[in-house]
Amino acid sequence: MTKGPSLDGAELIKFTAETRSSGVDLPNGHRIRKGAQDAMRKLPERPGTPFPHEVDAEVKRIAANGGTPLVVSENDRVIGTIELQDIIKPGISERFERLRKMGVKTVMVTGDNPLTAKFIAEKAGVDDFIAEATPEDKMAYIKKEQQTGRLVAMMGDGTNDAPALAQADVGVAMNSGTQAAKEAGNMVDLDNDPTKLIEIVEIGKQLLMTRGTLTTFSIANDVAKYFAIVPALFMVSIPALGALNIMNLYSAESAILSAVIFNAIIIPLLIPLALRGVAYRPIGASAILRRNLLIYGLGGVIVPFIGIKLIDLAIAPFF
Amino acid sequence: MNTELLGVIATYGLTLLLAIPLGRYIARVYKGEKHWSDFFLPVERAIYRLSGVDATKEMTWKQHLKALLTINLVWFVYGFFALLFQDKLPLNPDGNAGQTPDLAFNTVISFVVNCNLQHYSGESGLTYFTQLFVVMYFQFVSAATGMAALATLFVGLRERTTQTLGNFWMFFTRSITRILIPLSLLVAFILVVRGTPMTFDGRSTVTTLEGAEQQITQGPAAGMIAIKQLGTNGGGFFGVNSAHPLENPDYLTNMVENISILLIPIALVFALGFYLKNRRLAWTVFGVMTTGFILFVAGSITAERNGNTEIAAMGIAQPMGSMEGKEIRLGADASAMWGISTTVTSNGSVNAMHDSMTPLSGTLQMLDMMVNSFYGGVGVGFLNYFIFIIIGVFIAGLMVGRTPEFLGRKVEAREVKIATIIALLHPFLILVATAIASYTNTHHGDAAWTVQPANWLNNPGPHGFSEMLYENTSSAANNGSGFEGLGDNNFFWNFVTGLVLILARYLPIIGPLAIVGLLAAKKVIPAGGGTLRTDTGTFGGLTFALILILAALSFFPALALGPLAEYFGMAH
Amino acid sequence: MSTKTTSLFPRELVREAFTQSFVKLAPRTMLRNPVMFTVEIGTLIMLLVTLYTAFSSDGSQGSFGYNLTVFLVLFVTLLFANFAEAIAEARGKAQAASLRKLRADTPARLKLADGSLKTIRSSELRKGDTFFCEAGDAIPTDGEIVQGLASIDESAITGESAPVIREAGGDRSSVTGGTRVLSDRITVKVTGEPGTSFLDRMIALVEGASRQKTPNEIALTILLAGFTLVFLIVCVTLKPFADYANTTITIASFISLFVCLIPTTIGGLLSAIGIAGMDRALQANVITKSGRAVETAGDVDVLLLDKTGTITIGNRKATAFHPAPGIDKSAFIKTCARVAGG
Repeated sequence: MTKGPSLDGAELIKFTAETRSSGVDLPNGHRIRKGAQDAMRKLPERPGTPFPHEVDAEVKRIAANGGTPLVVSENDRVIGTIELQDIIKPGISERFERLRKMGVKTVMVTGDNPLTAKFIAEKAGVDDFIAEATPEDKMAYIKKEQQTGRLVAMMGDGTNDAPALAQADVGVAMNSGTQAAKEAGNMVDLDNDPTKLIEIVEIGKQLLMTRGTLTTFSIANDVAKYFAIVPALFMVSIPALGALNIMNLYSAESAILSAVIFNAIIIPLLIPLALRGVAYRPIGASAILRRNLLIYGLGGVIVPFIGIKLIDLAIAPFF
Repeated sequence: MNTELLGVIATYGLTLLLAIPLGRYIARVYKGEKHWSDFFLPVERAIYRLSGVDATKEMTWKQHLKALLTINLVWFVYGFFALLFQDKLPLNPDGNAGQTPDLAFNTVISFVVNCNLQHYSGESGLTYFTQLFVVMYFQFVSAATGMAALATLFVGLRERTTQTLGNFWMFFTRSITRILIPLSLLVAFILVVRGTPMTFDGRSTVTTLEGAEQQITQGPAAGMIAIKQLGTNGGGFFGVNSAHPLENPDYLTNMVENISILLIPIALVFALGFYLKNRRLAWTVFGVMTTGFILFVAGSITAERNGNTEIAAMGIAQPMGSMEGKEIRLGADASAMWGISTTVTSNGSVNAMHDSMTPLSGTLQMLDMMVNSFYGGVGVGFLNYFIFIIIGVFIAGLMVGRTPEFLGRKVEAREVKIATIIALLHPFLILVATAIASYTNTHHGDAAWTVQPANWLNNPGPHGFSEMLYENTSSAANNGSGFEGLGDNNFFWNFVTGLVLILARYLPIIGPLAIVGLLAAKKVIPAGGGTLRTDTGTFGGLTFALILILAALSFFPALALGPLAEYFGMAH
Repeated sequence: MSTKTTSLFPRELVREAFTQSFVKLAPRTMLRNPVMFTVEIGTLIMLLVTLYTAFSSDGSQGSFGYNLTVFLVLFVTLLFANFAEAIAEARGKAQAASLRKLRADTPARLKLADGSLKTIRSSELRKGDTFFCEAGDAIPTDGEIVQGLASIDESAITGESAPVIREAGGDRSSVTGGTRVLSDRITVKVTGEPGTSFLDRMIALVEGASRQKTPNEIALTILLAGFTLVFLIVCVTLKPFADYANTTITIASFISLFVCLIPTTIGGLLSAIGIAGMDRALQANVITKSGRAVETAGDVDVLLLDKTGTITIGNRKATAFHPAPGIDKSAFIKTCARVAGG
C-alpha cells in the first residue's frame, strides 16, 4: 500500500487499483479501511473471520436503492457499511418535466451499473438512460435516434466525445473541454454548465415562435387595411362603395394616411417583442398554437381596426 | 319556402351519407386491396395490354407527371382535329359544321383540363360523334386524371420513406372502371327514367299547342349528363345546360344531379382519411371545406330569397324570391344551392343563369371559384387545399417553435417555394387576364376585330366587369360555368381563356405532386409532444383563415368594382 | 459577459442604431430583404411624385402636402425597419465587445525552434505556433497546452471566480484567449488563425458580416416574397380595373395600398429576430458557430445529459451509516469520519 503524508500522526492509505480500498492507519495501530464489498470481502476472509451476512444483506439493499455501499473495516474486522447516495440536483426533475412537455426526450448517460442508473433515472425523472456508457455507446445511441428521424443534442468535453459531438445535431462543447471537442460541436458553453442545453432548446424555440407569430400578425393585419384603403380608392367615383367603409373613416386621404401610419408605427412598437422573443410555455404544441393564434392572429385582425380608426380620428382635423 | 329549404338540406344530407362509404371504397380501390369489384380486373388488364402500359411498375413523382402530361397531350391533339373536322366525321344527323380553329383550341383544352368552358352551344356546335367521343370521353378521362393525381398524393403521404408513388396507369384506369363508370350508369339510369333522352336520332319535330312547328334537339344526353356532374366537368349537352328541361327534367333529377356534383369531391376527402388511416385529418379538412360551403350556400340562398331590391322598389312582390333566369320547377333555394355547389367543385354546370342572380350570389360564386379548394374539382380540389396546408403548416410550425412538419415530414424551403408559387398562380391568372380584358375593352374598344372589344359586354358598368371577371375566374378554377352575357366566342376570349385553362390546370397538379414527391423521400419523424398536429380544429381554423386572407382578400378590390359595386348601387 | 444588458434600449446603443438606420438604406443592403426593398422602391417613386406635385400645377395626383406626408411616412417605415435590425446588432455587438476587450493586443512569448523565447504581439501569432505563459500572464489566444499545468482564472469570460486547472494531455488541455494564468507555467500551441477563434466567429455572426440565413429563415423569406408578389399583382391590375370603372387612383394610393398589404411588419423585423436569438444565446454564455445551430436546438427531440454535474451534484454524499451487528453506532460513525474523503 502507498503510504501518504501523515496528519496527527495518522497515516493515510490511498486508493490503489490493486487493493481497491483506502483508509488510515492510526498512531494507536488501528487500521481502518473502506471499499467496495467485493474488495473488502477479501480482507476479513484472509484472517479467517467470515463476512457478516447482515452486512451482506445491507449491501444488497443499498445497491438496489441506487446507492453505493462502502464497507468499513477496522483491523480487518467488518464493522459496518456507509450508504452513499447520489444527490439529485434540486429542481432538476421539474426541468425534465418541462422538457417532456416540450416533447423532448431526456437521456441520462452514466458510467454506473444499470441497477443504480435505473434508480437515479427514475428518481430524477429522465425518460431513458445509458448505463456503463462508453463513448461508442453514446455514438450508437445518437445514430439510432437519428435513424428514426429524431434530432439529438448532447454536451461533452473530452476528446473521446468529439465524434459524438460531431454526430449530434446540436453538440455543445464545454469551454473547459479539449480543442477537439470544441471543434466538433457547434456551440461552446463558456460556463461549463451541463444544464445549459435546456436553456438553449428554449432559446431556439423562442426564435422560431417569434418569427411565426409576427408573420401571422403581419398577415392578419391585412384584413383591416383592405377595409381602410379599398373603399377609400373608390369612394369618390363610385359613392355606393362608401358602404364598405365600415370603420367610418373621415375621408379617402385620411383613410389611406391612417393605414400607412399604422403600418409604420407598428414596427417600432413590436421591436421589444422581436428582441425579447415570444415567451415559450411548455403546454403542448396544439395549446401553444391556439394561444398564439388567439393573441397574434385574432389580435392581428382586431388591433389595426382600432389603431387605424384612432389615427384617423387624430388626423381628421387636418383635412 | 320551408319545403325548398328542406330540399336543400336533404340534398346535402344524402350527399354526405353516400360520400363516406364511397370514400372508404375509393381508398380500397387505390390501395389495390382485394375487393368484390375485382371482377373489373380482366377489363383493366385488357386496357393495359391494348395501350401497352405496365400498370405494376412503381413510378417516381416525375414519372407520374410525365405519364400524366403525355397522355393529356395526346388527347389534346386528337380532340383538336376531331372538332375541326367533325362535319366530315360520322354521327352528324343534323349536319352541324366543323369548329373554327380558335374555338376548337378553346373547346378541346377546356374539356381536356376538366373545365368545360363552352364557347359554343351543344345543339349546333357539336355532332353526336364529338359529343360522345370527344366531349364525353374527355369528361371521363380528365376527371380520372385529377383522381389519379390525388391517388399519387395519398401514396406519398403514407408513413414511410419512399421514392415511388404507385402507378399512374393503375390509378387512372381504376378511377374510370371502378368509380366513374359504375356511378355514371346509375345516375344516367335515373335520368332516363325521368325523361332525359338517350338516342342517336336527329332533331324531332313537334307541333306545339299553338299549332306552330318546333324542332327539338335531342341526342345521347343522359350518359353525358351523368359524367358531367360526377366528374365535376359541367359541360352540358345542351346550351343552357341543366336549366334545359331535357337535361334536368324535374326536382328529383335536380337533386340527383346536385348530389352527383358534390359526391366525388367530398368522398375523396374521406378517401384520404381511410387511405392514410387518419380519419381525424379527413374530418378536419372536411370541416374547413364544409364551413366555407355552408356559409356560401346560406349567403346565396338568403340573397336569392330576398329577391331583387330594384324590383321590390317598383312595388312588385316577389314571394318566390328572385326568379329572373331561374326555372320555376326548381325554385330559388335549389338554384342557389346548385350555384354554389357547381362553383365550389369546379363543376360549372348550371340550372339557372348565374348572370341573372343577385349580385351577392354572384360575389359568392366568384369567391368560391377564387378559393377553389372548398371541395374543389375531382382530385384537384384537395391538391389545391394541400397547398394551403403546406403554407399553414409552415406558419403554424414556426408559431409553436419547431421546424414545420406535415405528417412527420419536414417542410423546408423547397416545398414552401413550390407552394408559394402555386398559391400565387391563381390570383395571378385571374387578375392579369381580367386586367388585359378590361384594358382592351376600355382603351381599344374599337379594335378592328370580328367582335369589337366594346361589344363584348351585354351590360355596362359593374355588371359588365363581373362578366369578364367571372369568365376568367371560371377558367382559372377550371370551372367552366359562364356569367352568360359575355360575347366569348371570339379569338380574344378563346385564346386568353384557353391559355389560362392550361396554366391553371397543369401547374396546380405539378406543384403538389412535386411537393409530395419531395416529402415522401424524407425521413418520417415519429410524432412527439412537441409535434404540431394537423388534425385539430385549431389547425383547421388556421387553414380557413389563411384561405380567406390569401385567396379571398386578394380579390377584394376586383370584387368591389364588380358585384359589390352593383350590390351597393342597387336600391336599398 | 459580466455586464448583462438589462435595458432593451440603452442610450448609446440607440444613438448608434439611429445612424445605422440611415446607412442601411443603401439599396445593396436592402436587397437582402425583398419585402423592405420593394418598400424602398415605393418610397423613391413617392419622392418623385412629391417633387412633381411641388413643381406642377397638375392636381390629378393630389396635393403636395398629401404626397409629401405619404412619402415621409414610407421613409419612416424604412427607417423603423432598419432601426430594428440595427438595434439588435448593436446589442449583440455590445455583448461581444465586452468579450472583445479581452482580445486587445496582449504581448505573447513566442517559442522559437531553438527553444528561445521572443516577445511579439498576440495578433502576430499564427496557427501552429507555440507560446509560453507563466503566472501573471494573460493568455494571448486560444490554444491547447502541450506542456505543463497551470491554474487559470477564467472569470473574465465565464464569470466564475474559482480558478480552474488546465494541463497538457487529457480532456482539460485547452485554454482561451483573454484568460489569465494564476500559477505555474504552460506551453501552448495556437489552434486557430487570428480572427477565427470562437469569439471572433461569434462577434462576426452578431455583427452581420458572416450572418447567413438559416433554412427556416430562407423558407420564410420565400413565403414573404410570394405574398409581396401577390399584392403587387393586386395593385398593378387595379389600374386597368379602375380605368374600366372610370376611376382615377393616384400613385400615392397605389403605393400606400401596396405597402400596407405586403408583410412589412415581419419583413422589417425578420433579421432583428434572428440576431436577437443569437444574442440571447450569448447572454446565456453560449457561443454558437451559426444561427442555424440555435434554430436546430429548438427542434431537438432527444437530449443526452451526463449524469454527473447535470442530474446529480458532483460528489456522492454519505446518507446513512449501518454498523455491523454488535458495533456501537456512534463509535462507528466516529471511525468512519477518520476515513472520510480518503
